[in-house]
Amino acid sequence: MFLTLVVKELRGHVLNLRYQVAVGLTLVLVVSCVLACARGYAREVEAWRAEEREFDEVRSQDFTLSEILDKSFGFRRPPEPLGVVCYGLASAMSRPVRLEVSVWRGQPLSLGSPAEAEPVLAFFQRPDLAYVVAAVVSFLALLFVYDAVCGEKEDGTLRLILSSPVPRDLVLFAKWGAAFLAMAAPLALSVAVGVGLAPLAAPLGLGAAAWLRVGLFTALALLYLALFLSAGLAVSSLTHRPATSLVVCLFLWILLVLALPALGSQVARVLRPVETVKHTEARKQAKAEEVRDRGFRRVEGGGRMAEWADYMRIREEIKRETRQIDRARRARLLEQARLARNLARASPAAAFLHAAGELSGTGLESWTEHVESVDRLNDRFTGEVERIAMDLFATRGHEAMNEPIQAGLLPRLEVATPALRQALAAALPDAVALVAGNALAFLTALVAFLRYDPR
Amino acid sequence: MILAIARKEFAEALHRSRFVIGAVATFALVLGGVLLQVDDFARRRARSDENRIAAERMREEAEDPREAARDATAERPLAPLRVLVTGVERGAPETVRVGPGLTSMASGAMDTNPVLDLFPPLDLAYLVGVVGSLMVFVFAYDAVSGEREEGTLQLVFSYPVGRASFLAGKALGGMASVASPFVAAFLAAALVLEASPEVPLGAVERASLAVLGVVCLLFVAVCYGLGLSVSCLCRRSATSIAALGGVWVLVALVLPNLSPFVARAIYSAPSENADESVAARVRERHRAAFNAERRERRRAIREGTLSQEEAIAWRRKRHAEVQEAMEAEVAAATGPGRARRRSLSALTLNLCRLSPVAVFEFAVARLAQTGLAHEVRLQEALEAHRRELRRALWDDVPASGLPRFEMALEPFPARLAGALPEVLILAVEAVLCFLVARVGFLRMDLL
Amino acid sequence: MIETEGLTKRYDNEVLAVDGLSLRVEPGEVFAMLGANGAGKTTTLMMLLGFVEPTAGTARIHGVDVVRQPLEAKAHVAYVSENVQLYGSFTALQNLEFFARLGRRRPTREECEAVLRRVGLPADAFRRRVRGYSKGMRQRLGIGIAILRDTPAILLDEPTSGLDPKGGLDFLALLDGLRAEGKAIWMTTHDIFRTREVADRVGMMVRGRLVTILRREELATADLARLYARYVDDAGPGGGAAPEG
Repeated sequence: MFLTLVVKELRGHVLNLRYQVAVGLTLVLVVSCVLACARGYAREVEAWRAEEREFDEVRSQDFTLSEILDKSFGFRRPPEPLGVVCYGLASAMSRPVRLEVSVWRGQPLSLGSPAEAEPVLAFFQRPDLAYVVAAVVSFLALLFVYDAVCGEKEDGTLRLILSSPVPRDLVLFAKWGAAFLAMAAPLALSVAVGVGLAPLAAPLGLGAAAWLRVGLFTALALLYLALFLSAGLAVSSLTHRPATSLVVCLFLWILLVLALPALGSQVARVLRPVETVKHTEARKQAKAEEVRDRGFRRVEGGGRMAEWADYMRIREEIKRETRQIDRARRARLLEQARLARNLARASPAAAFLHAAGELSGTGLESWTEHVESVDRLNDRFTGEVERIAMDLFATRGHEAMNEPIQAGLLPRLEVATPALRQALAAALPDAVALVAGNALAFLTALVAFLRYDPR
Repeated sequence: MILAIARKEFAEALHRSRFVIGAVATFALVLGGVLLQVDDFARRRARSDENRIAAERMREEAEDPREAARDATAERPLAPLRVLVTGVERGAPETVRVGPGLTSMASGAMDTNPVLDLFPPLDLAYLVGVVGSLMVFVFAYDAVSGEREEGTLQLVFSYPVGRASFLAGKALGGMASVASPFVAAFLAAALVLEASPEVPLGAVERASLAVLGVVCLLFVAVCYGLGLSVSCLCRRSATSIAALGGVWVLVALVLPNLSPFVARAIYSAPSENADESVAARVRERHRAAFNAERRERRRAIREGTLSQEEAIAWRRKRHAEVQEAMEAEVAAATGPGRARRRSLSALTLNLCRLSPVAVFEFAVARLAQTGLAHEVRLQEALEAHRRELRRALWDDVPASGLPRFEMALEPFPARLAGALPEVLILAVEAVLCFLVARVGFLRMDLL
Repeated sequence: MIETEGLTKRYDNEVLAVDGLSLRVEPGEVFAMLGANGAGKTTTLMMLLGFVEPTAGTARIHGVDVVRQPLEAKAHVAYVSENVQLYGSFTALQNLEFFARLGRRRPTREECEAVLRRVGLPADAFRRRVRGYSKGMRQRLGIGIAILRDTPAILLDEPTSGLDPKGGLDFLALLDGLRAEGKAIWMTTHDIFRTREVADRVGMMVRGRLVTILRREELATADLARLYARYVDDAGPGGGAAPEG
């Protein structure tokens, strides 16, 4: 019985022009967007290599200590191949980092443009796979099911079906199952084809682990698709005319996909403002000044002096204090990001994109790791230079500043990417939100359909 | 007669639940978006002012002009209309470092929160261009195919009514009804702007605002014309909504987004970073050569064969020469790449222009001074400012006398002229859409 | 007055929908056309309204050629379709006023209400949205819209199909009144019983051809049901009975 219903629904879908358009569009868009993003990745890699060569050239030379203290060293994180799936925060992570070793400042500056800055993409979203699923597939899904119930009512076939001895819930399950099968199969297929063809456009070098992530992303995309199918069925069972259902579906989509995600960010900006870098810098300077005032004693002529041991103690204290201020700001920034993310979870599109970002190594978690790795690099790098400097001062005295140092031995940026388990844990709340939304939408559809008046 | 039809169309639209929901949603979204954006603008402005004061103080306190120049910053000119059109400035910080060596526009990683810019902001340009176009399609998809399906067209044409005049009336009334929520939302947004003391509106901005409203209206007309023509070409309204849905996905969600990638697939250009490193190498070489010469002079001073004054005079002169030669070589080395990049971005823009949504976004961004042209101007101005800064350093200007970055927004005629091509494209598209609708309707089978 | 002369419609797929129809409906006459589904009745009406272009022959309404001067011709004819479709979000009065404007008239509110009363629409429905109307109420309103136009010719496509018995009787009385006003009325119908009571002449159409015309005098004596069965119901595929006269 159930199978008969599913087959009937499937036949109805497959022969429908709307379905054929939806499937064709999904296939073409997914594949072309993946290929386009893969080309983008190839260019990013090229740019990264060129820059890396340059950085290496600098690092391969020997510098004297005084030169090192004047120089800045550049590092850039290699592009993430799974950015093809979800670009997420990759542009923020792909900015080059410059370290300036200076006794008093020593702050990592992340400067320069992201590896691939397309000005037009400031107007429009980057068409990665996650975007295509989040925006286009959800739209097509709603267009696909908006008349599943009320359309049959208007055609009069619903009365016929319900006049036969079939439990109503079975009818709805069959509708849902058939719609899901009809949409999920082409989606999964086009993701597989797209990512499979991507090596033609660029050597992504995806290993088994990466494919596992792509698989998980596909599962997530299917979950997201299911949510919109449930929502469409719910709207269809709550309305009586296809025209009304369509309009409600589209407004729902606008709200969930276009309006809510941005609103989350804007509200977070208002609720958890973060002071600017300038402010932080000023506070750090004030703090350093305060410590110095406390530690040094004034000498005639406006200068300040301290014993060597005091000097070292003061330096340590300044370092500690300023680092604390930096850390506090960073914590605040992350808090803001998490709030934005949590607020945006009201929108399935945002939840999906965040989770997809985590799976692709371009999410909030990865960004946090990256920021921390830059921090660590800063500590290690300056620590190492200081250690060398101290050693040199101890052995060479005033000649130390002209001693050559091998820059190649200095620490480098380690690429920190959260492990799969971490990524899964980070994506879990969003996935749970999607499941909950799905359950809610489907229950609404079920309740509405059980009480549906087929007249 | 046409008026009677138009009035009927208008009244009918007002009775539709989708129109009421859509109008309320449009109004609420635009108003809410503007309020949030005004708040954002006020924050930006406060930060910008603070940064300017801090920079001033830094200059006064700096002992060494070199140090002051290294930390020098510039404030982006804050376009008041960015409240309505964020444009390319989304995510860009208001303060830019201009110190030598740091040529890029981008900020430090921790300046802003990248998570906040994952999604496009809800400004007027987005709400009209992306959300609004979809709403207009929803309003218009069954304008003709629906009446045909219902059978009212048959009754109407049993009357002495010409098809062309019926369509004209329909288009007039439909356009009036579709435009009304946008007009109301725009006026509300303008009122909010007028009432917000944080957003300074001069005559130029007001004039731009008015033109911006007209462009919005024109864009709504294009969308309505497109909806109407699809409605005339499809026999059933289910087909017309499916077709329009597909068109909208392509036009608003895909075409402009894919265009940079398509453009690069057709045409290639060296990256800015690659050129930048070429330039850096050239500068490095010249600087090394110059330093070597300087060391020689210093040795000569020490040996007493050169006087201090002579050395200073030499340094001044020689430095200017080196500077000039260096910049000339940099320009020669990076010129072709820059030209190719310019062609590439022109190609990208033209591919984008296939989509009316992109055309609209470009037009309003030009008017609001937040578009690509503005960004290019800003880059050039910053580049010039950097050169000035370098020159000043060599002229031994004290820290407080270092040049300050100022850049004025374009005057109104320039904005208008810049937006004109886009406006013309929109106008032509609108006319074309209505013509297609007319042809489709005249050939339509009523049975 | 409605005239057709050799009116023929052959569709692109070579189906002959109407074959050389020559007919004349005089003012003050009710002409009813009987025929099975697909006999060509509606196509004829569509040609009279200019929705379908005739392959050959001419049709004139009030002396105006419907092909050469379609708008002028339509100024003299009112039409009621089988399933009257109106603007659902408008009330009866709003629909009436809009269509009157299309007919280049500006009726007063009283005129409108009088017409609605004449077609038997309950007064409480005047200001209700048409979307909630029953089929019979919509039919009455459609007829009212046609009456308000006050044209010399009226075309009715299955006008009684959705009416209950009371509605049918009311409709017959209405038609009598219109005839008395001197309108030329052309209706297509399946309803042989009501036809016999109201029609001045009855034509029977079989696969595009007008096979017989019965006058009012003949109607009284002829067994219309048998005739209908003979001409119309037998006219299925292959079994076409198309005798002369």
